[in-house]
Amino acid sequence: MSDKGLCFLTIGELSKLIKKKEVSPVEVTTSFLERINQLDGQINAYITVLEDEARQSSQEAERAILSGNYLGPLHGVPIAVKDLFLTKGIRTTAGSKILADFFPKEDAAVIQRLKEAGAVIIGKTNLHEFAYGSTTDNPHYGATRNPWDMERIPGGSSGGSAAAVVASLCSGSLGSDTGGSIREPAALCGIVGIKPTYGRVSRFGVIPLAWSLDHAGPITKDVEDSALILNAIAGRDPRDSASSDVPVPDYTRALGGEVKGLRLGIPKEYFFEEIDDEIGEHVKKAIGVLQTLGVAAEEVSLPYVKYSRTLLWILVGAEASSYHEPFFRTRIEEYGRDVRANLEVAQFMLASHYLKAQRVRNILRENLLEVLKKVDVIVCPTTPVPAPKIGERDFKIRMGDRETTVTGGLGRLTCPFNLSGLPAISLPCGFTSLGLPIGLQIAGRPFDEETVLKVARAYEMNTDWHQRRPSV
Amino acid sequence: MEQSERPGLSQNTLRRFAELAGVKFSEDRLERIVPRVERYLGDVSRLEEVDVSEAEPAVVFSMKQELDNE
Repeated sequence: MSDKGLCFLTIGELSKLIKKKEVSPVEVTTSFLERINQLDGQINAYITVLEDEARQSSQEAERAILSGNYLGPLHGVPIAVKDLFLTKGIRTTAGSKILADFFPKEDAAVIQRLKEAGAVIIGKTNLHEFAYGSTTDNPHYGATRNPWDMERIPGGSSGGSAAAVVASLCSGSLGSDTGGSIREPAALCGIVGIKPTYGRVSRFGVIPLAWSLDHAGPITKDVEDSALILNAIAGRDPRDSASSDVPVPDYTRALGGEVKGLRLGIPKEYFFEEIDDEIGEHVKKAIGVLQTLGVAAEEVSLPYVKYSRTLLWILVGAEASSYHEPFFRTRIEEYGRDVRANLEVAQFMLASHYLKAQRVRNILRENLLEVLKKVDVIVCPTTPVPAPKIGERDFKIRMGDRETTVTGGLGRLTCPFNLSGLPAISLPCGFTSLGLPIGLQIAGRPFDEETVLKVARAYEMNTDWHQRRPSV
Repeated sequence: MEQSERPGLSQNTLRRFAELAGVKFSEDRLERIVPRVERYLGDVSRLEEVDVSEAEPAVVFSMKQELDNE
């Protein structure tokens, strides 16, 4: 296989070659670094490429594997991480000017776990400033471009992590998700992203946007790769107050399992309202594919999800303004326009608003949990629109013969699962007539990532959307 | 000093509120913030239609506790 070809493999495929010593981690890492040098000038997926560190890690991996100490499927595999995960001695900007010279003294828990699994950390990816937005049109480090159409956004806030995966500038990546920031860019880039259950993956060392909503998780080329990364990063961490000690299964064992007899819940309200026609059509076809596999679909009622965007806006505003208080008072001019505007409004949020939002959030969550007693997963679109153009402020959707502006933004359909803490995945389920990817979202019960992954993998194995790549 | 013409909120009110919170905004900024705060308050008012009388706030929750209780 050509060196260039190595970049296009999934982690599952690449790890088999590395394990059999048919390719070396050094060879793989060199291929990716060359591709990054060639392409990232256009895509701008990375804020920092860790060339020296990656070469050194790959040499260490090669030595370990040659001496019989193979650590598992991530050993010697280049992984990119969103630049809000702390990396010891390596600049961590959170996409901001304020932290442009921040060199952490320790690694985030997920970085430690990736390193323990032998992964090669190849770079730190671009994001919406402080993860507070969904475009990755970053005022300090430039806009990341969607490899399917360079005039369009990759989504966000983990836009660099998604663009890097779909452009094969890394084998897989890590993102964070407060209102949809893993799943939404995964959907707009035509790849897979999973937000695990709240408490499943440690938030230690993740620069917060909103503590009660922040999640970390993988962005990958296919569902199997997400399971492989999740295996490495999931588990109890006493340094995260919300971390759970529910045992972590081997997520790859769920893949390929029987889906016949499972029950899908199709939301009656909200998720299929105000979405682009083409997205609705493709998601309904995807549900049809699952039904042909013996999965039963039934309509479910989620009357409180319509408050999701309001809840998210209040909760993120209040929690983010608390984290940003010291910067906001002394370095306000250093924020980009939209993040500054969000934080300014957040100064006027009242404690009573925050607590009301948390109470409504509990009701919404209880409603979702009640529904998930009757069905195994909830299936819906990931985003209401395909990738908008860079700089576009009002997102237009086509509904029948009329065009309208979508309310609630790109995270409208993903944030209910941040509010409820439930695991949710996005995977590709088609393309619009303009050739833009469409995401299918599958959400499940607390700590039942296995069923979510199983249903997603079953769909993936019966379609070929995940194999399509942009011509970059 | 120019006042917002919108009912309910004025730049003066917001300025005073911000000062109490230890934040100072220029008049220019305040002028731009007023409509956004009004929009925010409009959004918040949507929650009034939800009966929360039996709901406690979920400030930071742990799924672990919930599973343990089942």
